[in-house]
Amino acid sequence: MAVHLFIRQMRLRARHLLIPILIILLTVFTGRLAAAESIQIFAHRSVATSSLTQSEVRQIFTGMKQHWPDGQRIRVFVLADNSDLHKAFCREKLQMFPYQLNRIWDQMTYSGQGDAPTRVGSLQELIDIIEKTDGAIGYIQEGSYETTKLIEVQS
Amino acid sequence: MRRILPVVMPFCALACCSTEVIGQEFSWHGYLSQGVTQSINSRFITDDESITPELTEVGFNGHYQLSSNISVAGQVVYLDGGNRFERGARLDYLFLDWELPEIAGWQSYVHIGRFKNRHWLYSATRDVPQTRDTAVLPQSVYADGFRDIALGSDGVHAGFTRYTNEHIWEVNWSYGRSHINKAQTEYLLGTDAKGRAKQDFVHQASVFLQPSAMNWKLGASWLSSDFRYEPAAVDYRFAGDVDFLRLMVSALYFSENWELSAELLREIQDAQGLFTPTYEEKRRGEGGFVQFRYRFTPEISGLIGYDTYTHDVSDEDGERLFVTSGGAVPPYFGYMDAVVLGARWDIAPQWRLQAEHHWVDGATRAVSLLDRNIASHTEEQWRMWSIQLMYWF
Repeated sequence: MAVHLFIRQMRLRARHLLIPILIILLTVFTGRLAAAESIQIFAHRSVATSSLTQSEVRQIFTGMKQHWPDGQRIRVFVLADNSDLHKAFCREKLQMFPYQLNRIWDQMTYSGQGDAPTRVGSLQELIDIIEKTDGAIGYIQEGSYETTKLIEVQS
Repeated sequence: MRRILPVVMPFCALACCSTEVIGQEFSWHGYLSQGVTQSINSRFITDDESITPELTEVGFNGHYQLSSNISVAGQVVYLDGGNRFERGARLDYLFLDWELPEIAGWQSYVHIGRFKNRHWLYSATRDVPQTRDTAVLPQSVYADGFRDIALGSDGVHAGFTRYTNEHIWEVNWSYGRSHINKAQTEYLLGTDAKGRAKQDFVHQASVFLQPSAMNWKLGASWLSSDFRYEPAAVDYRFAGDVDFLRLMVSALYFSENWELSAELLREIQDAQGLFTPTYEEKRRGEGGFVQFRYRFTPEISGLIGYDTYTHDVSDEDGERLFVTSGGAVPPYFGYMDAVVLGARWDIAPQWRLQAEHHWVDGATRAVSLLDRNIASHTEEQWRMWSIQLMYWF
């Protein structure tokens, strides 16, 4: 069969091919997505923190940082994957792709490392739940909502 | 009971000692998955090579936050993979997660109990269908024959992470042991083994580097483990031990529409006793895989992968294996190469349908090389396929 014949021919070259593929991975694909400033991070008024570094924002939204400096639990809320705002947030603030974020959340949730963020259905729902939940954090389109607790992101 | 106690005791001790409980912070999740599958020209999945529903994975996990830096996490799973591994329920993990104070920019944690293997790309969530690229993972690295040993161990795992503006460094270390069940004893020593195989320890370490955007990940891992065999009063096997060393490099890359993953490994196995009191064997196995996934739309993607493994690099075509076994083990059990094609459809949030077809040449990871009926177990060229529906919450 053709596929089996292909496999046999590959076998002769396999070890020589796999190593170059790893070297390519090591050297080539290190490009980064450019950051923009149209998305704002905001939190519940109980959160004492007023600014975060870009690295801290990533740690929070990837579940690697789960408590505020005062010990309060961080509650992360996001919109669904197909939301344009969520896609823009992933790209601009995290410099990641939504599917990549899902992968990290699933690995964390199902290996005992913590909980994935809670998804909500609409921007209004996102705003409402963050305003009501101690320790909550989420995002909005710049200028779309007047909140007293915007978090400044330092680059 | 003696196996459960070392896992449960740390939790009892902690429950008594914890003084800063911050309320009932419990969450739970789960997944259910059912598929149909078949191996053709091989008994890798079923004895009669029929289409079978023996592709079931169910899991429930809980996470309880005891204090701001201490939590408990556990997961139970039920698995049915046909002949690939032992069918039944398992305690997948149950550990105490202790987040340590940050030192010199390094965040760290310790897991005590039954912890997950976090040293390879897919090892921590190997039983979780929606986190894998394929139902049957590349057998070079994730051989199903000793799957339960590689999942995790009872002992201690420590993780250290350092975030800089440009990169994330992750260092893992673990030390523990796993229970070896009957199926794995037979995989290692054949069905003639009537005694008990035990793992003395498994010691692992790994280091990973990612950019801050996490769009690629490179890592290297080391594993050292010792096994010993205690024969039964009447047994065809002798007392003996096996030293096992694995070195591996891992790589992962995410792009907007495609992703690439690869792992390469070298294994050194040194066996003494077991088959005769003076038996000695040392082998070096090598292999690895590369997988490419392309996302046609956010919901639909396709996968192509290549996987290769040689049981002993000094006997690449398996001819010496054939001769030393007196002709009982055909040469193609000395290697195994596979090409896989897969498709994935995310039907709705938390629902996925995944299909795959593997074309395989050789059979070294298909069955124990000590199986009495090895020659009729798998033909030189064989195939397997599966379609799996999964839901998670």
